Amino acid sequence: MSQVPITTGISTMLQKLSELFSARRAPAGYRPGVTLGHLRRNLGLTSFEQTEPTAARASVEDGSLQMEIVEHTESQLLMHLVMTEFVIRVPALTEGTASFELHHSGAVRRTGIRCRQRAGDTALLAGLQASLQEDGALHQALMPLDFKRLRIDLDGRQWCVRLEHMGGSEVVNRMPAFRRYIALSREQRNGLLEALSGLQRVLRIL
Amino acid sequence: MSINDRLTEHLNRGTVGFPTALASTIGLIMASPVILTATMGFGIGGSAFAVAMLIAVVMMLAQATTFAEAASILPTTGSVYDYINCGMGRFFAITGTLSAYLIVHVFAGTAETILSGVMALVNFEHLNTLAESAGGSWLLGVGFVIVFGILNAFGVSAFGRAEIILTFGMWTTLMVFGVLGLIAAPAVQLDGWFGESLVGTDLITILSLVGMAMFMFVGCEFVTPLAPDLRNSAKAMPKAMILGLLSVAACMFIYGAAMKRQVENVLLDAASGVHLLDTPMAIPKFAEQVMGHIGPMWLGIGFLFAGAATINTLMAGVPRILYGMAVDGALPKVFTYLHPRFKTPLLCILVAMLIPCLHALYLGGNTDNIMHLVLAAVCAWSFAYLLVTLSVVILRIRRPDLPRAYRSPFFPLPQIFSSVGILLGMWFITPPGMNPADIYVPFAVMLGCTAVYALFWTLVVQKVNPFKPASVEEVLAKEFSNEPGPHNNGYIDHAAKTL
Repeated sequence: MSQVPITTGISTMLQKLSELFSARRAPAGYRPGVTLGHLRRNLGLTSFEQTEPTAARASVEDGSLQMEIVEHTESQLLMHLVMTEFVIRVPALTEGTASFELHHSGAVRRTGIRCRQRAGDTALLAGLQASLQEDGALHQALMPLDFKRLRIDLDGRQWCVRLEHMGGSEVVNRMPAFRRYIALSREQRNGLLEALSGLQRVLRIL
Repeated sequence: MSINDRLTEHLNRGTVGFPTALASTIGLIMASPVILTATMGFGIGGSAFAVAMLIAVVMMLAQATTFAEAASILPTTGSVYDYINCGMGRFFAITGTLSAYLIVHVFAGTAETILSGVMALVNFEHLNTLAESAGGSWLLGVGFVIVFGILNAFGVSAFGRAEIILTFGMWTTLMVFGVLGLIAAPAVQLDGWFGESLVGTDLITILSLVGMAMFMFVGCEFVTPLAPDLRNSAKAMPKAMILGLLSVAACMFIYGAAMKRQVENVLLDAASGVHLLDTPMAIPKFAEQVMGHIGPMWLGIGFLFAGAATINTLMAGVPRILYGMAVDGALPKVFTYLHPRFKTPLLCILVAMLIPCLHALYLGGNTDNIMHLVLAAVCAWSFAYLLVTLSVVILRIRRPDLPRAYRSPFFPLPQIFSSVGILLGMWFITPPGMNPADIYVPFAVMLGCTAVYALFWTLVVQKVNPFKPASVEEVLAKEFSNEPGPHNNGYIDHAAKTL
């Protein structure tokens, strides 16, 4: 008997097992694009085009802000969360590599915006911090915004902003069995678009 | 674009296949309350409990078709709330939704909190003795709630990557122990696969076990919101539900038969009539019988992780839902508060922690209360099911013209069957040897509080007629209101066109 089919069979089986236990495997019952569909109705943007099952491209009415929206999941036992991440890309004036994370400061109440450098050129940090403080509209939009993560990366000649909001997500539960979309309120939706526009404005000249 | 076109467009978007639907029906086999309920059910009922499980499967199947039709009429984010609101009005919608989600959580969440520690530690004799001397092994469950609540408050997601391993581990564990228990030489001589019933085999006795049996299939209706997205849903959905339910039933039958073959159901307390299989102590006995000394360790570790992961799930999911309800205006604005740094809904996490902890403390962690909690949860869950069924029937009669991508077959037979079954199940929910008041009173109190809240909210806060059903067109129009394009009166004008 030929050993080739056996080897192929084992290899296929190992591949399938590897996919089954892979950390990137989608949770059971996950429906790609469903949360994006809710978000599409929630945002009410004129231009919203689903480019992949878990990704979409959207822009505001006047075309001044274009963004990608990507769906990603977080598995729990018998439950998973579907979160959406807003991504904007802005051409950079200078070439370089850097990575920053923004979060609110304060123990109980939000007292300001703190910028932490994760990697790269340290000279950029001061410039970014100054821009965040000086741009009043951006600061005003970011302060009440319920963003869970906000990351700014410089890669070559391009800035990339990734913002994950608390809303625009979905809880898919099995016990008790239900799914619930967590909406972006009107204020949060407006704040989100203003914050992304502001970041685009600031990064273009940084 | 008309509402009909929009609904069609919505239903055609993001289709999923049969495997996804099947995966969605198979749920929480190894959750501690489910295992204890199965052990106790087979212990007292034997073959009568197996019959009760079969009745529960058919009932759940009939109920699932109702859910599927509701989901196809109203593919909205509000789901149960919207179904009942359109059928029976806001009062019943609020009461039914809170009953389905919150009251079930109050009872089943508490049962999980108490049992997760007990079921894990009962397999480790020395640790169990130590825990009992420190106040009780149930406190481990409370500890889990506090630890995972705090971790979630700091935005730490435990078990995030381990879901598939845990789920696979649970299935494997249960099947390995079940199959080994079946093929090993029996330690008990049984009549039939599940042995004789200790409480009789008459119809009333079987009906009194249906409530417990229903708990085995909690979450089976999870597949129903998939109906509008399923390719060829009219065929794929019932197939997925039947296979899903039968897989769960088969797993439980194997486990039950193995348990009965390997563990003698000895009388532990003649005064109260408590048998070994009524208690968590049956689990290590079974494990040791099947796999020697390694058995209790394996099961203990399995239950430890399963309990911890289940509680972590509650701590990660419930607060986010409370936050979402506050964003929607269903809860006070204060629940939208997020920690400045971690962006976690602290108040919501606190509430989600306090509910099971305080309830467990109030009950003193007594495992004698577990079955009451489970059955009260079944009552709450059944009540919501009844309201959804009534709403679907009302909509069929009042609005036969509505677009329905999936229609429950043989209407109204499944609805009559499931409703009569659920009503009988609720009426006879007390198994022999239990006091009905221990189940009905806490359920009635919780339901009464919910009803009072619903009446106050609709009459005083929302100032609307609580019993006036909402218009399906308005609910859909609200759901699709942010869709680009013209969508004013077009929804209502074209709604009467059937798909």
